[in-house]
Amino acid sequence: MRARFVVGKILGSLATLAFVLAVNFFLFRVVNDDPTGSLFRGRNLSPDQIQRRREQFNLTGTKFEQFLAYLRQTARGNLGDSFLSNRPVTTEIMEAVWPTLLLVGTATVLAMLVGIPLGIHAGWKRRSRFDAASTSFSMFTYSVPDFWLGMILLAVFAVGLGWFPTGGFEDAGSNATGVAALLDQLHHMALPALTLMLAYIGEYVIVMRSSILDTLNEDYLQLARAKGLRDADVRRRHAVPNALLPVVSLTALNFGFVLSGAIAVEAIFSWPGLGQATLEAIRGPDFPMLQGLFLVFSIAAILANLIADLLYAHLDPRVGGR
Amino acid sequence: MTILELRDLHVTYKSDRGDVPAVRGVDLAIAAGETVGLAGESGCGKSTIAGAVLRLLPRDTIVGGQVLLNGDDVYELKPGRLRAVRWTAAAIVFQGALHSLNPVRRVGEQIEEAIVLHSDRGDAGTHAVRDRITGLLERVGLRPDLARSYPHQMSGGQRQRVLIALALACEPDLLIADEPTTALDVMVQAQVLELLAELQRDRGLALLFITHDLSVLSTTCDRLAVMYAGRVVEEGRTVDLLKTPQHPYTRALARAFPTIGDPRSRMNPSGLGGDPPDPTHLPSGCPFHPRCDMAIEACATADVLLRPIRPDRAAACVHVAVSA
Repeated sequence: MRARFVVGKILGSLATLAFVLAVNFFLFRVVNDDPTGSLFRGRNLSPDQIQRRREQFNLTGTKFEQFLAYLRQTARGNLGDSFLSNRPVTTEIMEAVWPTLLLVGTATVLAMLVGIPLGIHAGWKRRSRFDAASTSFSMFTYSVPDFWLGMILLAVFAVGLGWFPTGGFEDAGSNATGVAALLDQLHHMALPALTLMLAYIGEYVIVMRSSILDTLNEDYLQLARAKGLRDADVRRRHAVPNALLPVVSLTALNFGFVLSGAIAVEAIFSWPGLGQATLEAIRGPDFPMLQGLFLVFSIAAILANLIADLLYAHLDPRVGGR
Repeated sequence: MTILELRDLHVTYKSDRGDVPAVRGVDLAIAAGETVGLAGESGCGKSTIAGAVLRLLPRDTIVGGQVLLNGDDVYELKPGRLRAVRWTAAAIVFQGALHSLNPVRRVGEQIEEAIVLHSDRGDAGTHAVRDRITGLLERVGLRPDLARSYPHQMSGGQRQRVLIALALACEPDLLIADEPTTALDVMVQAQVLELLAELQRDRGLALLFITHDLSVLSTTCDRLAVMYAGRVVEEGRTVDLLKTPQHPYTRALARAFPTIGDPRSRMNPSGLGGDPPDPTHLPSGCPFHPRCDMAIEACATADVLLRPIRPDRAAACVHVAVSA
């Protein structure tokens, strides 16, 4: 990979980030010019108090002055204070990031680890019974809404059989530490993670399968076979490395949605992550919080895109100016 | 010594539209040190024969007759034995060098893979194997450091040479060259042809040369077989066959190429009208009769098989006088 290619990609990402910052600011100003009114619905506040609130939330001055203040603030890592809790948005987000990262990250990794081999096998043995079974399973889980799946799992395994807790991150009032705490969290995470994994897995199976199918008629597979390679080696050494390329992009891009991807499932399982936080902020409406969340989601997506590009260029010698 | 012998080879592909008979009874023998050309329009079954020799056709394809490689029937071999025979008894220079090389692996690795697979001592990365790759690349006229290149970094001619080096990696007895020069410009084409001829001379390789371009075959081959609709319609020694083509199809093919130095033929190249027949709906009688300018009534009903004219010469046409 040439340095020029890498630098170009990074500069492109920074430009996107700048654009996102601007949109993020003006979007919420379009929705509501001065949220103080709706925020303190009917409560008696002196003009003095309202003015202080306005200053706290950066609502004084012209739009442009506000924008510059917002940029200065953001550059210093300050995303403002939440309307609802009065605490810094960064603190609120930091607290919610870990549960989401744990839940969605685990589900994504598991979906990949299971889905990609399934897709490879189904594509390689296309029209076999295995292919039919795995493809219909994938189509089903892919098309079912995740919140519906979550509610069914919740009803059966938590409410009905009582094997798993119905929600939350850990047992209330638990002061367990170390391994015990971890086991408790895993116990809580099992159902939401399973829901998300089932929701994600179909995409990996289907994309991997069709990618393998695309390579099946490639001449280089014919040549690999003519050389005298075993079928398994033709697949492993020649088909899979080529077929993985689109899946690598998909995977990297999906990691961009790790933070924002589980709003419905987090809500069903009362998972204290970014999805829950987003839902609460929308109900508020808590504009600084939403603004902060959107910024974090955007940065995650931009970063994932950048990683996808660089990874693809690393894996495919035809890309990246080599 | 006969390296490859096809005995009444039939190949029928399965497709959604029904069976496609691509090869309908071909007999062909190639001895060590001999170059045989297989000519015909696209769709006549030439490349199918290349695939049939190493059993590379889709699994549901029906193959009849026999393919004997060094005396062994390829279709009777157990899987392990078949893999051992591939690339050592016969190797293929595939058509389309860009697509025949794996785009994400260095060409050296792709040559190395074949060497390591078929030798009991050479492991990947050892000096012996590396020297062998260097030798192969030099033999086909490439710089050894190109082993570290990816296919897309090379020119079309270089890729074609890599494919030839790759085919030579396990010193096969038979080299099947399937349209090896079709995508190349004339200068590179001449170089590649020269290289193949040299290799054939040096190593006593048997060479099966498949192409639609008669002019290419005329300079390289000892014998020619012309195919039409899945059958050989004329065969003989190259010079003899091109000088006095007996089958109207061969005549039309030969006429389609202008003769250098003869302005009349250049100004008036006479091609062959019509398209090759659809293998699923072959015309009755002689499959060539709808396009034939010498067709008589009998041609629409009587299917003429290859008949000997004189030693080393045979054609499949009613008009051909059968030798006694």
